[in-house]
Amino acid sequence: MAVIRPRRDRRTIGYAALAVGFVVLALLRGSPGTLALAAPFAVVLAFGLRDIRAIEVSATVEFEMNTFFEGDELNGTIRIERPTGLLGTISVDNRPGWSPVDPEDALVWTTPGDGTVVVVPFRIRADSWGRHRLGAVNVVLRRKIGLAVWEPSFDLSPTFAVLPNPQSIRQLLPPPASQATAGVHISRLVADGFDFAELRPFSPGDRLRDINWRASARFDQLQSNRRHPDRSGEVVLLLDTFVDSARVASTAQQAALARAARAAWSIAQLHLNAQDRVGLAAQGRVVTQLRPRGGDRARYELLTTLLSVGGMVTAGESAVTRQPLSRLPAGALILAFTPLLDQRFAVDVLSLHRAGRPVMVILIELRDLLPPPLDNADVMARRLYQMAIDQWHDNLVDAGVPLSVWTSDSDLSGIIGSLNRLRHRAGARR
Amino acid sequence: MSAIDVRVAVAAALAGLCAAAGTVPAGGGVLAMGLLTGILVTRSAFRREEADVTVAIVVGGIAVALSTGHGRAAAVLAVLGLFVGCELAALARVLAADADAPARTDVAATLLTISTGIAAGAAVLIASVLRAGPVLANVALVLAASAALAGLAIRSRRSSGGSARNS
Repeated sequence: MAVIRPRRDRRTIGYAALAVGFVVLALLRGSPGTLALAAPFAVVLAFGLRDIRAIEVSATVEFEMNTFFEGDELNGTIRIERPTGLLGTISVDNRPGWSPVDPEDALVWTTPGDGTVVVVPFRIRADSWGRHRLGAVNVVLRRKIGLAVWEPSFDLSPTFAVLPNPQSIRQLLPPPASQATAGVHISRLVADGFDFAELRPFSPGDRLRDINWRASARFDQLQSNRRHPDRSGEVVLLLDTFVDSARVASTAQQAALARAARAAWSIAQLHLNAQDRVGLAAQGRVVTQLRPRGGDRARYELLTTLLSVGGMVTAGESAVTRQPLSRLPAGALILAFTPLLDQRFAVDVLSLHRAGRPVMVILIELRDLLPPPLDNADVMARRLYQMAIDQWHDNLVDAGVPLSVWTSDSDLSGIIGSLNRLRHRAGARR
Repeated sequence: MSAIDVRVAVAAALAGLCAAAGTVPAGGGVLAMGLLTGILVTRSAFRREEADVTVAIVVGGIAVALSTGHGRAAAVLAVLGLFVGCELAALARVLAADADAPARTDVAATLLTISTGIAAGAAVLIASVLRAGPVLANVALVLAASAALAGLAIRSRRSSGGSARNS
């Protein structure tokens, strides 16, 4: 509950000047009738300033839920408690990450003076992934004939999390190195597991259950089964959070980042379900590194970090320094998501590749996210822009980095399949 | 460029029209001043700075003062136009805050303010016209002073009560 002192309405000084001026004029001219000119302004001043006490006002914002997917509509209410008899205007500051649905253009309401509690429902659409808040709730209160205005502002909205939409993918990326915990990726090593690897003659120490009786009968000698161990791998999802030279993430860039986040979350889910260890790194405007981990805790950490990255990029926060990507785990498959808008990210990826790190790139196509060009100059600027992106695309491909382009009509499954093929081809060449 | 709400545009136009129309009976320089007032009042509906509103009201006041030289009726009409115009401009400023909100409450509040102001002006005008005897005038003065004192006492009591609750 905040105690708010009023400010005067914009008419106050003008009305006071006229009231005093006409009274003086009436006195100077000795004309009582001239007082009638002052009367309307004097009366409004007298009524308007009759009650200029500080008042107590409180505001609370509630959401129906606090976790949503991108594109979902959120229902919520704003509850204002204030003295009775005050007309009010309630407005909410816009913040990035959401847009108003009901009311349509802006979250603004006018409320009558009945009762002490005002509850206004609203609906907003979650536009971009991340952790977001409603803007400050500004309240303007005034009496019917009033020249005093109370203007409290409350910035205590709870946060809500917007999750990237999961994409449907069926394939797993094969991590290059395996760890000692059980998983679904087959290692090149031979050890206890479920997948058959080879037959070999029985040797002392082999377990009885490993003896292949059919093969033993055929070879007339005891044969033992050998198996691949079931092991998990490490995947690091690397997000490009570089923005343009104006240091502002445009709508298209935010959409590209959201697309990257959706893919990253889908791939992370899949690998975590397969007992892999998944980490997250962001390089650019927002810098973060989350070491690969497995299990539910990793899932929550990953989601929280992903949402924080999304929220920070949308809110325009920026990193002071860059982190060396060489700190990423040595054996992990690095899957980079980038629109290649900033060459520094491409340079980082090339450095990782040249250092022998297994890295694959999903190039997020921005063309379909841009609005139609306005004129010929716009068309020319976009062509130049696209040429720069194409050049870095070619540089990465020439260097042997598996790269696949993701457009709006691409299927993530297809992209992962294409990356796998490229990676196997690159492995065969080596 | 944001679109202008029709209600705001209408209220602002009416405000300027009223402020200017009041000076038509006076004519001449007063009318010119009234037209300037109308423009300023309309402008103050779209601009939120206090200085713009104050300048519009004060210029209108000068036009009213000048109109007193053209007779009582001209002055009364000029002040009526200015007062109604200023209130309509204030209504336009309130409506501009929300294009979707129902305007009924704010329109009712503005009409109440306008009618209160007009009633007060009419009362003073009638009182100034009446030729009351000294006894009646003194009684009226005492009653008015008593009412004012009572009003001040009630307000003082409310304020102290409010302070106690706040503390």
